Amino acid sequence: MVNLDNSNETVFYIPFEGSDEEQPEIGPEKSELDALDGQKMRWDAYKTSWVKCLNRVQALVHTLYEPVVKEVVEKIEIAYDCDPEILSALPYPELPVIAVTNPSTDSLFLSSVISKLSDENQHIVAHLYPSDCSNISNAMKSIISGFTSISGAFKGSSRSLASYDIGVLESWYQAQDVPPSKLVLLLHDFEQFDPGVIQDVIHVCSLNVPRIPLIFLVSLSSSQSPSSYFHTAYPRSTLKQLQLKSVVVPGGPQVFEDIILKTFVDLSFDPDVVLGPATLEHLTEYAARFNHSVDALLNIFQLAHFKHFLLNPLTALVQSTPSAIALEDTASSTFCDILMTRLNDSMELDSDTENQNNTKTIPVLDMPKIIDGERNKFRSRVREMRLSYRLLRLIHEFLLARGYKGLGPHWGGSPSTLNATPLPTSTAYPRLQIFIDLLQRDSSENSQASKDIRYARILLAKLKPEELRAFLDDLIQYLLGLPDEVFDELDISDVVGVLGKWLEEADAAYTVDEDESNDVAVKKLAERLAKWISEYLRTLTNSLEEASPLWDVWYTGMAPFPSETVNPSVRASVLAGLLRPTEFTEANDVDGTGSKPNADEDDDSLWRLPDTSILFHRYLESGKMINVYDWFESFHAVLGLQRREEAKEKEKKSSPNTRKGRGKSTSPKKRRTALKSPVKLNSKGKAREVTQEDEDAAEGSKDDGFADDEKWKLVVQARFIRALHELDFLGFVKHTRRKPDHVLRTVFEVSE
Amino acid sequence: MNSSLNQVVSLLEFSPPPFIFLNDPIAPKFTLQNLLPALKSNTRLVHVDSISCFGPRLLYDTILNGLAQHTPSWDDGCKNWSQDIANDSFDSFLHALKALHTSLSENGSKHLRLIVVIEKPERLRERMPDVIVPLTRLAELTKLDICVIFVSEARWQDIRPPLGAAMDPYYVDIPVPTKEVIIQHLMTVFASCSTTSSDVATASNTPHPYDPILIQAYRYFVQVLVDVCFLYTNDPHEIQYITAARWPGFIKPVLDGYRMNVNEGEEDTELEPPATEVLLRLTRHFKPSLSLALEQLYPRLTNAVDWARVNESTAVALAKDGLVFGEAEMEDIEEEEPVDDIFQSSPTRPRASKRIQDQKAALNPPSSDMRETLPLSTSLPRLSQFILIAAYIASMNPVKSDLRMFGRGPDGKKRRRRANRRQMANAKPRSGPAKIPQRFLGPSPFPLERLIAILGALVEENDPIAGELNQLEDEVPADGLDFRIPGERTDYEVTRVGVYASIAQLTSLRLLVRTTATDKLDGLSAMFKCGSGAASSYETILGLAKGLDIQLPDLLWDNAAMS
Repeated sequence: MVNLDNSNETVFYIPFEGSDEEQPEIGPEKSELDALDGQKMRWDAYKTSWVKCLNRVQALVHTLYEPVVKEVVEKIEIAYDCDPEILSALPYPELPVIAVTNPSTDSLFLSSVISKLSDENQHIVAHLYPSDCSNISNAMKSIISGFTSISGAFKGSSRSLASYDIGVLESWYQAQDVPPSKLVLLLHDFEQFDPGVIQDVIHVCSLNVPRIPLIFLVSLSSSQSPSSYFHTAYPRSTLKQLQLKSVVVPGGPQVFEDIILKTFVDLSFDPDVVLGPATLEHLTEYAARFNHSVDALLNIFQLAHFKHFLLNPLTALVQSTPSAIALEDTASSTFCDILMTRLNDSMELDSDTENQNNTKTIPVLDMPKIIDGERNKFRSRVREMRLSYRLLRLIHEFLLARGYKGLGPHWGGSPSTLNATPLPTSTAYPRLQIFIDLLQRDSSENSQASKDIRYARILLAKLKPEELRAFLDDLIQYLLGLPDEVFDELDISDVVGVLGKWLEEADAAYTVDEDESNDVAVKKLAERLAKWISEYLRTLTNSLEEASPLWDVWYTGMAPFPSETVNPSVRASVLAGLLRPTEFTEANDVDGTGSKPNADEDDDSLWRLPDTSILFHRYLESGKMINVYDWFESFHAVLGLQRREEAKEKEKKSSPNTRKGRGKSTSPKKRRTALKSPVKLNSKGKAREVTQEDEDAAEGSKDDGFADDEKWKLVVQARFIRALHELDFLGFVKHTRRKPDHVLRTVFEVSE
Repeated sequence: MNSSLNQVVSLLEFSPPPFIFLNDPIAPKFTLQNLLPALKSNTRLVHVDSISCFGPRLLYDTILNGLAQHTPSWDDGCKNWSQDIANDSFDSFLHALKALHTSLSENGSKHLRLIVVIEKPERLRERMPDVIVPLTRLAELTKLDICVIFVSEARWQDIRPPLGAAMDPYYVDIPVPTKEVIIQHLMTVFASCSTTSSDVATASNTPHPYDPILIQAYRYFVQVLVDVCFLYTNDPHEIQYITAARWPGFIKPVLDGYRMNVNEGEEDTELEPPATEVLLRLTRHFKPSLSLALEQLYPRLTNAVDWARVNESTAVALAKDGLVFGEAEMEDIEEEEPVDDIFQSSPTRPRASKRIQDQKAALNPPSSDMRETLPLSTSLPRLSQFILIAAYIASMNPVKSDLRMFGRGPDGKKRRRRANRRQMANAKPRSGPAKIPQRFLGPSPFPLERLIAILGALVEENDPIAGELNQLEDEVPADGLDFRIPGERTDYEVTRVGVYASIAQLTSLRLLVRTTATDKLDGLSAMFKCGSGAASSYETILGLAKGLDIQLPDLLWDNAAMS
């Protein structure tokens, strides 16, 4: 047992002895609205759909990295062998360094390089981290043990070479039966290494190549060119010893957008959950402002999935439908009711006039079938939406290729001009923004997507005969090239049939000699085509929220992304917590009914707050410097009040007739005025207040006796110190050497 | 080998002083390369590099093992030569040294001279200052015939331990290498390369650039090259580096011509030394690339192998200068020639313009990474760019200027009253030491709070996204946040976790440098400064600022000095 009263000890260790509580259950909270096993079903559905999405993203990233991985491995392979004519005439051998710039800072790239090196090419890879390199001997020790550890640890004695002697590595290398052809040293987070240490490491290693075939593989994350980092951080004497080659891993906004588009706007991939415009918009904004790495992307995707499945009990239906028996179970009655209402509502809309009595009865047995139907319906609607994006892009690119302006600057220019001068678009991710616009297209005709479609119609109607033919040809080719399932599901064959007929007409009109009647015919054809395309796009882009009564199962729609949870404002949260602590603690009660019985009375009176908050309120009222003793006294006063009030409340509970406390009248009044202009507490006023409050305190605790009073003072002091330290730890207080009894304020002008 | 080195060698052979100090400010490595082989004959010699031997133990082990010519083997646990513990103090090292001498003398050699050559002794001064004095007095302490040689770029005055405890050395100053020395050195390189690569080449019977028959051509080439480079560097190794990169490309047309002749069936043709006229033509063709090589290879903007690959002459360019020596393909190339004329558009433009083009190309190094990497302005997220600019401003402006630069009056208008520079310039010069502009002093550190405050001011003024957010939020506070005070929204935005994460990220990229320890929570807040290099260069930051529509020059206190 720990004796906390032992004054000789300054620190106590209280060991953690197992948990009293059960492990928190993984998975969404049980909701009353869940079906039988709904919780588990939702959890499973979440896992399946998230893993599907994750795998897609990872596969995309992997294909992106593959050529670069190959390049790096190739460079390592030929490091000592290329161009012997030049290498043999160099004044001294150079240490090959391959600098890889990987702006997205994920480990996927390096791990695939490593696996390729050690599996296929039998090289030995050792790792060096910035933390290993506090000084040269530690760095050398880690390098040597990194390589030699595969043949057992080197036990140096005082009569052998030191474990940080490069000679150890050399003798180890020569002792190998089958010497590995290359020793690859991977330096992680190269910018964080101390250049002074690495400079020496490079010198030591370069003196020993090529006897030890070392290769440095350097992982840089800054997006500048790798050699420029070397040139700024290292002197020429070090650069002289290196044969520096650089490789750049693709990354940055372009790649980021590609991955999103290929995950959510690709016809060959169907994500289980479709992210709505709100989430996608947050994603673009977050990426443009804070972080566009693949990791950030995955985090947001995962959170969006998680939230989707957490809040909506219906999401249990994302992939599979429970059997009718499960739905009939009494446990899922509420769930069934919701489903029923949803489905009925839509049916009423559909068949309003027919028979109003019949609508209320969808037999439970039919339910799974209906749900399955809805799922398929929704999926094909989503595909249509994506198809519409692709078609618009096809139109845009066709127009660009023909030398027209295309659908507008927000669609991006032609590839050649795009690289030269990035267009001044309002968003960093124009292509994704277009898809978001499409998702948000409403009937008001004023949305960007509606405008685009209208514009496409106008432009298409003006196509020249030859262009019209080429366009129809392109369109048909594209549609025929769609994946089979999409082709079947969206009845593309009908569309192709219509288009094919028009193409024949256009052909006929084109091949027959130029004639004015033909021109007119072609013109009419173009108009027909334009009209049809615009109608077709309109049907394709009908709002997903109207696609199915159960749309919110598969679509997050306009539900906002919980951005405040991921990226909160620290200072605001801390201040809010100190100013209104109860709002945080009672957050869970908000939706429940259990509000405190006396919460409405005087909830914001200072004495009800925790100690740190009381102290902080006092802090806000002070001037630039705070006299700690004054601060303590004011704190003491509030605690006195708190004590009396609590005693009174206790009394009131025991004898409800007791009149309300007079202590309330002494509750802090200054606070309101102090808010706008923090008044420095002058010592005179302060002293007066203190004496008065002291009297109050003394009065309140008259009955408790002197010994009790002393004890109370100690308690107050302890609570003050603790609260002060908490504020200190949070950075609200700065100490000065000049006035040890004063502290400096660090936060001013806080609005409550 | 020059006379000073000869003097050292003969000294060491007859009666060496116990301590020699070789001062070579240009190329100590080159001097060592010459000295070491000359000494190998009848002495026991060890060459120690002071950077590799970063601890006393390593120094002792290396000297002893080197003198004993003992190679530690992995199988017996990398045992040192000495049976006793010899590396824990200088004392034990001396004992081991004596024991080593005895055992070596027993093994036959009657009079054995030990020589310890220490390269870069200036590093010993930093790492183990205690060792220098006994090392200079090694002969005295061991009473053996042992000589210690320091080879350094620095002078002995700068290395010498205080109080005169160290013995005064025998000074030898190595003169600056002359053209002749360099050319002679390069010729020896050619000789050694022709012996090593002839082993490979004879098998395939193809000529290689270091064929002995080409030695005259090589001598001519080297003379031209040294003439070009000698103005800028006289380190023989640097010139050797450039030679190594250029020579195979230079002689390639000759070799190709020979190879073509062989392929055409003229088996008997011997590789002949190229005629003077050919050499002249080659020189005229390649001369611009020599200065290009110097510009790119001396600062190591790229390495020799890559440079040689990039700067290999195309057949078309060679044909233009009449440098294709095989008859067979001559015609094909002649046909291609007009294509090249497009580039050299007018006949009035002489070859000099081509040289200018080449030099232009040198300014934009063709190394692949330059083209592929994104500039900071597209690869960094928006807020990170703002942070970098804020950090630059915080690093360059004095603290007292912040309120003037960014302060706002109660009416929300900026009140920027700048001191009139012209008036200040006309004012009488103040006495006292001249104030050095901040850009010469480098970035000064600033606390995190100042960075956040400046960032807030920048974002408030210049970030349209935040402005849009403001307008949106006026209508519907979707996240339950309601900001009424102007600037409150920005304040909220710049204290987000993401901002701190971005600062940490930039720190890990060394675009910002944290100057306080990371594990310290107490006391003053974290201090940062702009990273070295790109992040603190005015041009880079100005580029970022332009992309974000920030008028950076207006925000810098000392902007007159910037332009």
